[in-house]
Amino acid sequence: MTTPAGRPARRDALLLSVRGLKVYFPVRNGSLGSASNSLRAVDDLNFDIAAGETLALVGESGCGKSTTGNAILGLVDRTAGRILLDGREIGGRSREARRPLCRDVQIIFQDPFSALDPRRPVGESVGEALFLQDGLRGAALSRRVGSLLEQVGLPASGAARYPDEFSGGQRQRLVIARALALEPLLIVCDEPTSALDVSIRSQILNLLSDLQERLGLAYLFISHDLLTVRHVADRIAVMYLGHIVEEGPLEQVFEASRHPYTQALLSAIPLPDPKQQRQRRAPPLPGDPPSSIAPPAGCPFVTRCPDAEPQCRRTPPPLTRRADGRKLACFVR
Amino acid sequence: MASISTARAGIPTAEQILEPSPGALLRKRIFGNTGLIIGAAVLLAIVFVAVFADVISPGDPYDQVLSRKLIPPIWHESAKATWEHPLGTDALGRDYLTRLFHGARISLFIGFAAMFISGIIGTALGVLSGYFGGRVDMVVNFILTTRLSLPVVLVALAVVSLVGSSLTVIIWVLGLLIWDRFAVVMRSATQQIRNLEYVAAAQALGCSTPRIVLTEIMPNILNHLIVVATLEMAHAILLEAALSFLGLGVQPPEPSWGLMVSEAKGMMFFDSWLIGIPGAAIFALVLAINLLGDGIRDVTAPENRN
Repeated sequence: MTTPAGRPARRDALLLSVRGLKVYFPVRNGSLGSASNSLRAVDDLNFDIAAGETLALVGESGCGKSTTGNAILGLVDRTAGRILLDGREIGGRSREARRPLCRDVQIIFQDPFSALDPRRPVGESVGEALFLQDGLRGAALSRRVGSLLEQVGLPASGAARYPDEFSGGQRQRLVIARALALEPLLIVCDEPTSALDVSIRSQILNLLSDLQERLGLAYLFISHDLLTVRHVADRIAVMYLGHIVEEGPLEQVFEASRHPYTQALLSAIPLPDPKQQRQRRAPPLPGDPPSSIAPPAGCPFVTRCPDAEPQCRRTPPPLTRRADGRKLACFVR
Repeated sequence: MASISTARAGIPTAEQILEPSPGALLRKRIFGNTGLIIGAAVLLAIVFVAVFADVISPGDPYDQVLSRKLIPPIWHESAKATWEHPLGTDALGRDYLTRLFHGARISLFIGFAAMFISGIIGTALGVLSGYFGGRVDMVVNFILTTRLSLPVVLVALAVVSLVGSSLTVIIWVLGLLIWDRFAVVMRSATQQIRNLEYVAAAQALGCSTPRIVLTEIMPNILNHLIVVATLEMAHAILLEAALSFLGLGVQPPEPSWGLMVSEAKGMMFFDSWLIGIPGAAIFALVLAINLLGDGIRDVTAPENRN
C-alpha cells in the first residue's frame, strides 16, 4: 500500500473521531419564519473510525444516520461537537476553508440516478475533483479519468458518454470512481446499495471491499439493511432517534446483542426457513419512533422499550463501555 | 480476415456503426421533430426578411403616393390589383409588402430585446432564491408579488404617457415588467436541482458556489429557460402590438405590425386585407417561436436523449 506523505499509512490508526456531535434543524412555524423549535436529527454522537476499517451506522429511517454522514462531509452545519479527521478539526468550516479537506473525505450516495449530472459526460463528473483540486486538464486529466474508470470495472472509453447511457449498477461504479479520484482516506457510503437490484448489490459490495483492501480506505457505511451490513462491516453502531444505543464488533452485535432496540432490529430480519420464522418469539416493536422535535426526557427508546424502568424515564442512559468491549446505552441490560 | 471491429483508416469500426455518436443522435432527434423544423423555418424566414428588409423590399416604407392608395393585393379580384404592389398599398399609398418587411424588424427587435432584459432579471432572481432559499427567497418572493400586482398594460401606458414613446422606452418598459415567469420557473427548477445528490457531490468535491451554479444548476435548467424565453419573446411581441394598437407603442410613420393593425382598423369592413395581413404575420411569428421553443425543449431533455 502506498500512501502520500503525511497520511496515516498504518492500518488501525485512529482516523476519524466524532465527539458530542449535535445537528439540530430549526423548525419554523408561522409566516414570520421565526425558529421556535428545533429538530434534533443528531444528538450527542460519539464514535471513532480507524484507518482501513468499516463502521456501519444502522437504524431506521429518520434516525439521523444520513445527517451524520452529511455533517462529516460538511454538507450540513453541525450545531455542536467536534469532528476530528486525523487529529484536525473538520467541522464548522466555510466552503473555502474546507476545500483542501475534501481530498480526504468523500461520499457515495444512495441514488445513482440523481448522483450524476445528466447534462455532463461522465468523464467530466468523475474528473471534476482532479480539475479543481489538482489542476489537471487535457490529456493528463483524461488518462487519469480512464484509469479511475478501469479501477471500478468500466471501460475507459465510457468517459465521453452521458449518465443515461449507463445502468444503475454502472452509475454507482461511476459515483465510486468520482469518490476515489482524490484518493480519500475515508468514504461515507450513504446507503450505496439500497437503490440497486439485488443482483447488482453484491457486485458493488465486492467492489467496495476490493477497493478497501487495495487502497486502505475506511468506510462509514450507512444502511438500514442489516444483511448488507453483515457482509461489509467490521463494527456496527446502532442509532435510534439521533443517539447511538449500542456499538460493537460485527459478530458481537449480531450474535449477542444486548440493547432491546438492536434485538428488535435483528429479529425483524426475515429468516429463510418459514418454520423458524413462524416460531420466532420476539414480537415486532409496537408503535413508531417519537418525534425528534419533542424527544422523550429520559432514554430515547423508553416509549417502545419492553423493559423500561422508572429511571429510564428520568435521565438518558450514557453510552458506556461494558466488560465485553461493547458500548451500550441502557440502564437495565 | 480481420475481426469485425478492427479499426482501419477511414473505415468506421462496428462499434461506431452500431452506436451513433451523440452528435448524430441529436441531429436525428432534431430532424424527427416536425414542429421544431416548421417553427425554425418560419422564424428563419422572418429573421431573413427583417435583416435584409432594405435589399429585398420593392419600395420605401415611408414613400406615400396618394394617387395609388388602397390598392388591393394581387389575389383580390379587383382590376386595380397589380404586381407592382403584391400586397397592395395602405390608406396613404405606401407599399404594404415593404412595410410588412420593415415591420418584422421592429417586432423581432422589440421581442428579442425585451426577452433578453427580462430573462436576465428573472433568471438571476429565480436562481438566487431557488439556490439560497431562506431570507433571499423571502425577499425575491416579495419583489415578485409586487411585480405580479402591477397590470403590465396599465403600467406601460402610464410610463409611456409620462416619458413619451420611443423604441428604447418600450423595450425597457416591457423588459422590466415581464420577468415574472422567468423568476417563477427558474426558482422552482433550481430548487428541484439544488436538492439532487450531484449538487451535494459537487459540494463534497470542494466546488465553489458560483461554479456549482454555472456548471451544475444552469445547464440543467437551460431547457426550461429556453421554453420560457420563447414564450416571453412571443408575449413581448404581442404586448408591443397591443401598445402600438392603443397608440402608445411604436409611433407613426414607423412600420410596426401592431401599428399597421391599428391604422387599418377603420377600414376593417371595406379593405379587410389591411388588417388581415399584419395580423397573420403576428400570428405566424408567435406560432413559429412557440413551436421552436417546444421543439428545443423536447430535443434537449435528457430523458429523451435515446
